Amino acid sequence: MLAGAVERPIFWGGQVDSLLEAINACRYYFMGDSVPWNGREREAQALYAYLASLPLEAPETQPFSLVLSAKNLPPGDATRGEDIYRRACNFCHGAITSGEGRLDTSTPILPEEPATVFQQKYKFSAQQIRVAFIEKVRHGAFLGLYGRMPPYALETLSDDDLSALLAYLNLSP
Amino acid sequence: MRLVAVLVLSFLAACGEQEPKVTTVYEPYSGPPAYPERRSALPPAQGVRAFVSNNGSDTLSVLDLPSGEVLATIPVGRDPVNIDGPHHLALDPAGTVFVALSYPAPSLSPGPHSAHSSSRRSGYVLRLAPDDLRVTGQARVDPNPGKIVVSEDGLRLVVSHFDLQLAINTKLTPEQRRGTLAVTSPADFAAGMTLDPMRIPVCLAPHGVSLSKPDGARAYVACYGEDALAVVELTGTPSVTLIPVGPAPSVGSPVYGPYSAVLSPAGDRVAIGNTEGRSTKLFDAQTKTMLPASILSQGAPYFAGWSLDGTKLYIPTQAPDALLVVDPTTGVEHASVYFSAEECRRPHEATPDEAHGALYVVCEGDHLQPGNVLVLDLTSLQIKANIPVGLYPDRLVLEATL
Repeated sequence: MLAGAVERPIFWGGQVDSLLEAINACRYYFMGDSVPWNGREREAQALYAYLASLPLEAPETQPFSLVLSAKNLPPGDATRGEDIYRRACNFCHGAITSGEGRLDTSTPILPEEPATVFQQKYKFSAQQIRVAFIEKVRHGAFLGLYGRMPPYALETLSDDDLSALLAYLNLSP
Repeated sequence: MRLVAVLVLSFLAACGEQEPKVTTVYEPYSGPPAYPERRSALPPAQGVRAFVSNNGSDTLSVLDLPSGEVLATIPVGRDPVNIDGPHHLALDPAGTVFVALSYPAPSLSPGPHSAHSSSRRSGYVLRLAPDDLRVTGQARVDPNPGKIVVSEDGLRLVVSHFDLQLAINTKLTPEQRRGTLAVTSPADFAAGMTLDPMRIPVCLAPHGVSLSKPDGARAYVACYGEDALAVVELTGTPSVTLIPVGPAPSVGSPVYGPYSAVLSPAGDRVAIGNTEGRSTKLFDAQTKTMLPASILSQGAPYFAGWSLDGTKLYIPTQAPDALLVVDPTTGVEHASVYFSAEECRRPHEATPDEAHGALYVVCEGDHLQPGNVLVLDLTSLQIKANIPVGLYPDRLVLEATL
């Protein structure tokens, strides 16, 4: 997905028309750095060098299809979900149930920590908890939600992938 | 490979254990310039260049009028996912664009998260360079910025805040419920900093604003929630005088609902569009009094346009969707045109362009599908072009026009 980024005319599904602004958005929303790069910083230059070193595979605009209204999904395959969790979630959230290896203590342990809040504070049913997870994955820290999680567009995580992930997290339909 | 990573391992004593600390040192980058500017310069127009703010799609449409060619569609905003809501925009005499971002609450079908549709974010004003619309400065203002205006001399910029949620918050005192007018100077914007303009509390839900000419020493503000026009003196110690737009004003539950305030080219009268009362009132700027006549319309009047000599008002109305041409002195209707849904849904603003014999009408559309700009013949009112723009277009500004 990053290959060709230095030649791309537009980012974030058409919302940003500069690579540096797109990077600064990631740094601000997901990495908690409120001081934008101006492009001359050593780290900014190094990142550009890395992106420029990638093969120029996809210089054109990449689709970024957000799911605006979260709806429940059919059951999925938990075994496939484990692989998806490892690739998509583990880096930040660590292992399920224990949180081992998570980024920091403010990153919730899945699925227990958010599920407990939904259940005890908001009195959500099991199905509402499942849809709340879907909503969080799809919207991240945006569209009225908070935190520092990126939104997973359909190109990054299909509905089938998300169903499998929910099965691995034992969030039944 | 332009990147070399060097791992430096050191060992720190921590809690009796040795933990490796990894430091990555990058070789200085020596390739072509990083992050080259890829924005294209805005193309010139054959006629006059116009900018349209598209609330629902976070873009500005750049048009060549009256031909109707779309020269460019430029994304604007600070947030890569949420709707920034570029509401109104203004140009200074140098062509610098100022756009107000209103951050409307997401209009999604509500999910289980309780925070949806209840966020209240500060608005922002972005200053955009005239050549390619890159951001060159910003100001933070109050939530729900409405109209943004730059004075004719380019030295004063004001923003109203159409904050209905604030206006109806009964937990606040009447003074606290008043929306403000943010006042600053375009020259105060600077790259890399966020301005915090002076705020003047004005009235409940202020929206349309015009500035006196040439220096904007006085602002005329349509006070939707108080059925009044606010006259705000901006020099020295600011003062606010509210003048009712009709004989039976209602505070908090408007009967007239003044939404727009458009100053005549000579600066002597203000046309006030009352969307609830379905009338247009005229305010005499010299005597600071409301003129007695009302121009009644079947639909709700929005932002009217004046002819250069001040003898005609072009009034767009919604429900029915129409354009009226009226003598502002006598209230006599010269002409009218009613639009089909395909031609123009929810006309929001009319802008005469006498140099090109054209009249431009911004059509909001249904806010779900893209809106459009109509080009009418200024005399016959025949439709000459129908230009698609973005979602929920709101404001059209002609270059070299304030």
